Amino acid sequence: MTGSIENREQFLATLLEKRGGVELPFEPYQAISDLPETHLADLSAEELLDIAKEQAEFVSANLVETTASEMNAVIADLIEKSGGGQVMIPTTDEFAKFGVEVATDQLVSWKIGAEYRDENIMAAQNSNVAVAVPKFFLAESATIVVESEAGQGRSLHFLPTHYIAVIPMSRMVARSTQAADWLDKNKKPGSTLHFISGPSNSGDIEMQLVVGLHGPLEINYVVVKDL
Amino acid sequence: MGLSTSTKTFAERLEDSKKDTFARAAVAKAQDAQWEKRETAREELGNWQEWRDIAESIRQHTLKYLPHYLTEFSDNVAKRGGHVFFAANAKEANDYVKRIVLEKNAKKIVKSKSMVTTEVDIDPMLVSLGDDMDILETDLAEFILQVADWDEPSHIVFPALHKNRDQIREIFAAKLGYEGDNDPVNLARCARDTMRKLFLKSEVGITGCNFAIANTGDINLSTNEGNADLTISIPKTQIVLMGMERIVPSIKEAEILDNMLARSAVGQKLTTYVTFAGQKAEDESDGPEDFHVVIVDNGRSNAIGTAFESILQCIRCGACLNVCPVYRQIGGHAYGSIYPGPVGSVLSPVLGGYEQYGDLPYASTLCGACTETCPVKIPLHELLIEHRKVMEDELKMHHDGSFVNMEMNAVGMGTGHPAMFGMAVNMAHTGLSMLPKAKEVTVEGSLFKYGAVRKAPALAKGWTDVRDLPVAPPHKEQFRQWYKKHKAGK
Repeated sequence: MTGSIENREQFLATLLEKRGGVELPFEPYQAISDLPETHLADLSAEELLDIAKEQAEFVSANLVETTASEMNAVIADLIEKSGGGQVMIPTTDEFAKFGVEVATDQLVSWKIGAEYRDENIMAAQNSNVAVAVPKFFLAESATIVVESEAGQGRSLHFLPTHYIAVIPMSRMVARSTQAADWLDKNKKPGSTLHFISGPSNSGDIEMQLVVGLHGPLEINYVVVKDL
Repeated sequence: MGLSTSTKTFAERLEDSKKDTFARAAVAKAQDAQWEKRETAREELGNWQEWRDIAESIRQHTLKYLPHYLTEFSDNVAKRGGHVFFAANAKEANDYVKRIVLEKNAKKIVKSKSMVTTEVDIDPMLVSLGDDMDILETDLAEFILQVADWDEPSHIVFPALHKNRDQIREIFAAKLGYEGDNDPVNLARCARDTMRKLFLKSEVGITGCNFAIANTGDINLSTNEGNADLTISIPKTQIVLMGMERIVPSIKEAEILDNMLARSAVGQKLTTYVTFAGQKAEDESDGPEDFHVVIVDNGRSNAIGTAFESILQCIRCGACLNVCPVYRQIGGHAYGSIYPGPVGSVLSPVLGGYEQYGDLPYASTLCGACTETCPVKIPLHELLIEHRKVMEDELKMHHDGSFVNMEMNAVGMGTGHPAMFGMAVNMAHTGLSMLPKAKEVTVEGSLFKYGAVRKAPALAKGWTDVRDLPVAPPHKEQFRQWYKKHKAGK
């Protein structure tokens, strides 16, 4: 499957002409400072969690600390507080890997396969809650990073009314720099990355902050300290 | 609308702005609120100047090797099955989007806020395709402007800044059947419900692009509302429009610029949704099956290789608007361009020429606040001076023998020679001393000790139309004499 490129040569010729017809020999970008890598990098996991807790409040997200043994009870409690109803989860081995079990009689999983497009989108739209396991949790900004792919489509993270991110402590990093560095080397071709810091919000009406515009009205971070 | 937002002259737009007291108050409030948020976010980060240096180095690097990165990016989009169209101007960009929409026979289109789609006039083109076209601007502010019969935006980050909650309630009541109060929470919930229904039926999604990632072919979008994420998730076709300069080598550089953007635009550490996406993979079930990127020049190349090249470093954070004393007084609509404020005063003449936007470089105090706040270190106030030089010295635009031109020549001569300057000061004092009404002190303190001119002629008229012009102190107390005396006595 190959796409197409139109008008490129003509377009680039104009740029070359503006530079006096001289094409510069290419040199890759060399970072002029290691500040992004060193900023917050010396903090312990506990110190990072403290930063994340403070920031979660700032971005209107609900952060709960728990342990692996209590994790599923915490998730069940959050689902109940969200009003129950249909809960959507990804199709992924990450749930089994971390022992995540969602106890509800209205559970739907994201179906793998392009033929399930409409079914998956409508299932996400009709779900009151989504539960997912992020790839990273960025302490500085209280941001989860999720990689949408075959088993967890893009809509799963945006259409349900409530969202629960189950975050193994081992996936917490200082900031987006560490996540970007890993993703630059390891991102699956074609996957989509969403960096999400709290619920959807807007300040467009007289600059008053309103939470819950397009995405979930509520976001919960369940940080599992011994995972 | 396109780049231009008005057919009125700059002077006429200024008159309109002076009358719009709500908009002026809203701009002042926004500037003050954003000042606190922005400065706090930068202070928390620490080493702000070093971060600016890094951001500047990334932007300058990609501009230097723009052809290389555009080639790499477009190759990677095509490898994944996407389509890239290089548009030299707004018409080509429009024609391409039109072609895709017609090929798809699409009637339901959702759009995520983007400056470049407004710049090339995508909305009117879509509307012209027929009465059955259903177009939805999904950013709340843009949605409000659309519902208000496509009103003009007045700010890069807060396009509906000039509308208050009562006006929005009235618009929603008239157009959407809204029956609630003017609480922004309820107004936003009404917008959410309206937009969600349309999202689920959408066939084509149109977005801008904060940054394009050369080594993956992904595009990077930042929003606080998540509307861009729905736009790249639900419709089967996505069309991305991007200014040709919006490119970075990899996600690592995008991450740095996303941080700089969020802190500078809204005082956040990261925007709520920062997304990297492209055409869906074959085994994915949502996301665009057809993915198109339109890379737009539309006058940007006018800056390449000139003194104005650094304006292409802009990451559209709007921080320069939020510190500008001129923007504070005249608001966004007065600029007559979708790019208002200092960045607009530099960029608009580059994109649209001096005939239409030549007034804007003069709408500046040259205080340098914009330059100081810019996260990617664009020397904005120096570029404003450069525009003036080009207009005056190269294009001789104001060398037409007009009265203003003669006045400026006289001022130039008078200020260019010490002896003539001294004479001019003496004459000005003698002349002005006859003009004030008695010696009325209009402001406490010593500034107006010698009275104030209320109605001055010629060059000073613009000033005295809205302010007092303090009369210079008597000759014996002139600064030069005072300085000489004190210097001698030290």
